Amino acid sequence: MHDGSGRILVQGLHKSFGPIEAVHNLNFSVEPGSVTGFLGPNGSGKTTTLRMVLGLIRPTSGAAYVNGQPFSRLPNPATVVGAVLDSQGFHSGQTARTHLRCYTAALNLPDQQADRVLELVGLSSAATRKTGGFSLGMRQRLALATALLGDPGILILDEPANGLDPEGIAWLRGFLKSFASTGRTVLVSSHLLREMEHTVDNVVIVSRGRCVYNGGLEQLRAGQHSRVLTRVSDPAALVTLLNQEGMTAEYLPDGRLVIPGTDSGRVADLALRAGVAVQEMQDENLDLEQIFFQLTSGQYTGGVPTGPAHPPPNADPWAPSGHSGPGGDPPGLGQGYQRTSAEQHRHGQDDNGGHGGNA
Amino acid sequence: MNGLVKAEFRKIFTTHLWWALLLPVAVLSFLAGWGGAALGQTDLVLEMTRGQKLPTGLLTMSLSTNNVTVFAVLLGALAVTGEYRQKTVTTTFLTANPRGAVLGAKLIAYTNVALLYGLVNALCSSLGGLVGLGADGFGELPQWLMVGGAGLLSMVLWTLVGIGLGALVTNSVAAVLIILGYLLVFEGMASSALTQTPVSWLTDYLPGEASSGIVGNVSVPMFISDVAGAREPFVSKTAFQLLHSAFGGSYGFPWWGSLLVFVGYAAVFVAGGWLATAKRDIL
Repeated sequence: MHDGSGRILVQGLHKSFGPIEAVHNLNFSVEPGSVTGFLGPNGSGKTTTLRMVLGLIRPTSGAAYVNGQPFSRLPNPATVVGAVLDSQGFHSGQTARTHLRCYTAALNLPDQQADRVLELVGLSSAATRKTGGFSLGMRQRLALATALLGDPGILILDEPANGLDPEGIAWLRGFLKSFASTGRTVLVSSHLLREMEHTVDNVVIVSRGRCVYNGGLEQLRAGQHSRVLTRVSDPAALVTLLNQEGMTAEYLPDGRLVIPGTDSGRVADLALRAGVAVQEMQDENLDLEQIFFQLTSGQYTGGVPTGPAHPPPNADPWAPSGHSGPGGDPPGLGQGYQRTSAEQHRHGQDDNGGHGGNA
Repeated sequence: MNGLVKAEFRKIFTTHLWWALLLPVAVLSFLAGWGGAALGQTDLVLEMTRGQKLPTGLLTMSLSTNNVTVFAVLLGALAVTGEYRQKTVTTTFLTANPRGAVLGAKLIAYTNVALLYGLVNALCSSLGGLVGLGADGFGELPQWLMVGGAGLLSMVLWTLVGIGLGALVTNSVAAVLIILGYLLVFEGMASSALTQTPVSWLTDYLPGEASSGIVGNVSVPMFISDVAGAREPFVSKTAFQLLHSAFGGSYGFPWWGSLLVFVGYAAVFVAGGWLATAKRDIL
């Protein structure tokens, strides 16, 4: 039997489709009472992961647990976890009601439950219409109604906002929040952080099949202070001084330095002390979308360069220049930050892109 | 499990497939019964039998059964592949653990639908016989029941084969092509290729041949026994073979032998489908 905790636990999850590595050593947990966003670009392994949690895809290694049990060992699973995976799972000749009644029967539920969930998602008026004529938004609502049939304690949704109009999205947000506020669990995936920003409390961010952040949205936001982009006459001298001051810097492809967690006034002071000429200086405040982009693209890292403090001659400017400094976590990232992949993985970029995603 | 079976029944009767495939069963069965009965009434046959009416209804029921079982196997296959095509399989597997339970529920529900198909076949071919031949053409009631019962078995087993095959291939188009390609083209070619070889006995063990033997090996010996009466031991093997080639089965092969062989096929397909379903990734 399951423990009824409402917790989703993913441990060392790994899935390869032939040579394509869709999910790589994924670890995270989703707690009840909150909405957790499962974020990542298209093709980052979100759908594959959700389907592994739901027992639809067999992991190559690792395991996922729902209420302390693998999905396959949940008795009457739809009463434990409901899922909206795609909006296509309807027989076009069936009406919304007959579709739902196939599953009330399977779950040994009274047939009135079908009408109840239709009302819940605002589809009562379409109960006797054939699903073949449904719009994408109506299909999303019907898929949600299907997921809610068993009155589950956990709800998993894969890109549920696709096809919903703004009003529908606003409604969905409210629905998910109130669902979670009753102590139940919501895990909702999206490739747009902005879309989720006002809905989720926690986020799991994946990139190329790896988890890059797992924690509260507020910590993620708070951990990201402004940073300074600057071009100076002798970057190496400035970096040396910055390191002495306990700060970090990194080269951008165009030769500029990125200095996180500070502002231009302080950098200007230091440049003066180092005796370098400032050619260009710019404050930058990261919004959440940029943080997301930064985490998922691997373009920027917050670490200290471990090599000599000048641009290596053949440096691939897109490559991360090093790992986190002596302090462990990169500075500027809050307590919620758990860097689960030990390094950035450039090699996965090409062979993983576009696969294992929202297929 | 009861709930899952009920769910399968609801899926069946809220969609069109079951009657879309039952319709040709009814029509073809009626035509086979009618046309076959007329054959027993021709002057040539009446002359040969000195006016004795032949129980050709037994043979034509056999003929119609072996012609319409193809709809039973299509029904079973499309029952499973339809879920993959419509993507309802995702929700289906999310509401049942383990996946095998869904397949089990389908086997139970579709066995009942196959029985309905078998009944419609028996009734329509008999109705055709009545129209074409009158009530004399069916032999005794127990004989009619035996041939009809063999028809039900054949229909059910073909449906189970279809479900197993559907679970193995999951693609509707592929499943239909495999079924029609095998039954309409391949098995005929394989049989004729085998007849001239020392292993010609193998043809009795091919799926199509085995299934038609379930009914044919009941009806043909019964018919000959009725017609020949006391002279049955003297009926030539050729006469048997002629009737078997038209109405299914083969000379001297017991009907239960055909049944066992075909049960074996059904078991293999169902087991294969079961294993494939348990392991498959649902993308």
